[in-house]
Amino acid sequence: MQVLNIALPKGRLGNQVYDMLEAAGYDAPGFREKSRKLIFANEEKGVRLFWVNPSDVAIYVERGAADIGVVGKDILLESNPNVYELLDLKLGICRMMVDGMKKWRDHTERTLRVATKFPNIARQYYEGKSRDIDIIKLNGSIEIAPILGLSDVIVDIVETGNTLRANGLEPKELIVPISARLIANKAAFQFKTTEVEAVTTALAEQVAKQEQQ
Amino acid sequence: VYRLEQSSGTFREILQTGIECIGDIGSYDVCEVILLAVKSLGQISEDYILNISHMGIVRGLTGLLQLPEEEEKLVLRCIGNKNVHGVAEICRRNEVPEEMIERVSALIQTYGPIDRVLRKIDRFAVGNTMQRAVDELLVIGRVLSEAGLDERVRFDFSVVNNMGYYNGVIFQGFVSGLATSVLAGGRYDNLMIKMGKKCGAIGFAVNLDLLSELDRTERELDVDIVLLDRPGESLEQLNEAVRYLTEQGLSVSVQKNVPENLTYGRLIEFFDGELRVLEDRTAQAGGPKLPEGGEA
Repeated sequence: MQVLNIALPKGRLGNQVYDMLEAAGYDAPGFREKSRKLIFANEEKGVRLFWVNPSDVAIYVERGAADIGVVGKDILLESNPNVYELLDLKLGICRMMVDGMKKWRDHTERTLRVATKFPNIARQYYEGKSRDIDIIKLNGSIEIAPILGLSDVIVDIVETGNTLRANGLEPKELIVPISARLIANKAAFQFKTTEVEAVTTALAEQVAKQEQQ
Repeated sequence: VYRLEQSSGTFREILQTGIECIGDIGSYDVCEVILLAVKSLGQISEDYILNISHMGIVRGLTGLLQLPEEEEKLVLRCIGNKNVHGVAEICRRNEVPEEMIERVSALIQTYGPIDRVLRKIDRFAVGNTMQRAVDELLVIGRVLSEAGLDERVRFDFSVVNNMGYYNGVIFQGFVSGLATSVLAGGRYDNLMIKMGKKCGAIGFAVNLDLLSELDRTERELDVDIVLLDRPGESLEQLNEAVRYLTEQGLSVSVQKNVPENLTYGRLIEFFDGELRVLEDRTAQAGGPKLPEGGEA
């Protein structure tokens, strides 16, 4: 048996995925404890788990530093990495949306100014609608852009919509539903086929179990 | 070749070596090119895998879904990423019958050793094009096993790169220790048609740049010997010394001053027409010895 390197996203999603891995028998002692340690191995189960920044998981997997990993569909759509997308984990469910001020109305004769962390997703969506846009790439606090008049709308992930409402914004158009996906490095898959298949099947069973509840 | 790199938006030079076989392509040519691909991978590493797919089967099946062109492209991309749930999502929003979705899912999940796939492959064939593709894979499988090279070859229908370009067999090679495929190729009659030629073509390329990543051995020294070039030094004498030392298999760098960020074994200079060692780090490092006898 070969050791599988698994990259998990830091934060709530990563914890939920770890719960599933643990329930599937892939626990790694000490992984949940708050410490400065970064890598946790369970030699017996043949796994090595590590936390990375959520937006970096796809890079670790694509470049083979991790064999498999868990990443939001938003990041897959934005960076389009060359990886296998093996499973929809039905976790971290949210929606990629166009949001704007409550009173906002689209003036189609003008170029639409769009503030976003996801320029590629925004570009693709508006290209499909043949709408001329000006993309303003921001790295956080996107909601403030339309309030200050920096942009007309924003393209961002919406979970509950509470942040939007608190700032006088509302969701306008749905672009695509988002959830967490299990991805695998294409080369690692060739050499660790049975190991990757085993984790995928085990996680698929966990997903099915949670759907029944 | 030069390829546009997505992340930087600039062209990057990639060193490749491979073959292109252009003309009246028959089963023999296809098999020989695949055997060459397998043998090429074997030259790089003992631990390799060649994945073979056939666009006649993949496109034959996606064609049956009767999707708009853009949606079919998305389905092909999902197949390339073994993304079963993605295929289902696209098909459902286009009202493709569940039974067809099942068949595409089954195709994605059919991969592995040649004989195992060949046992299941017949049920995918609908119509003549797909049957011809299945027959071709059967021939390839037989030729590979007769050549004793089937052990490290898999059939895997997720190999669907550049769908506008390839039409028949298509393959990708991996070696253990590299994160991306090191060999890629296939049948590309479509490109020939696009260029106004009435003939077939098949070929593959090995990405040589990637191979350097396989050798991660750390070198202790940047250079074995630094030879100082003092003002007024005889260039003939320097050159003769360099030749003498390199002929002993030592690497030599001629420098005007003692370089700061260079790790070297010995620092030598000319003194009264003789080579003289100013500093020797090889004794403790166990590096190559300076040849006895110095310089005449």
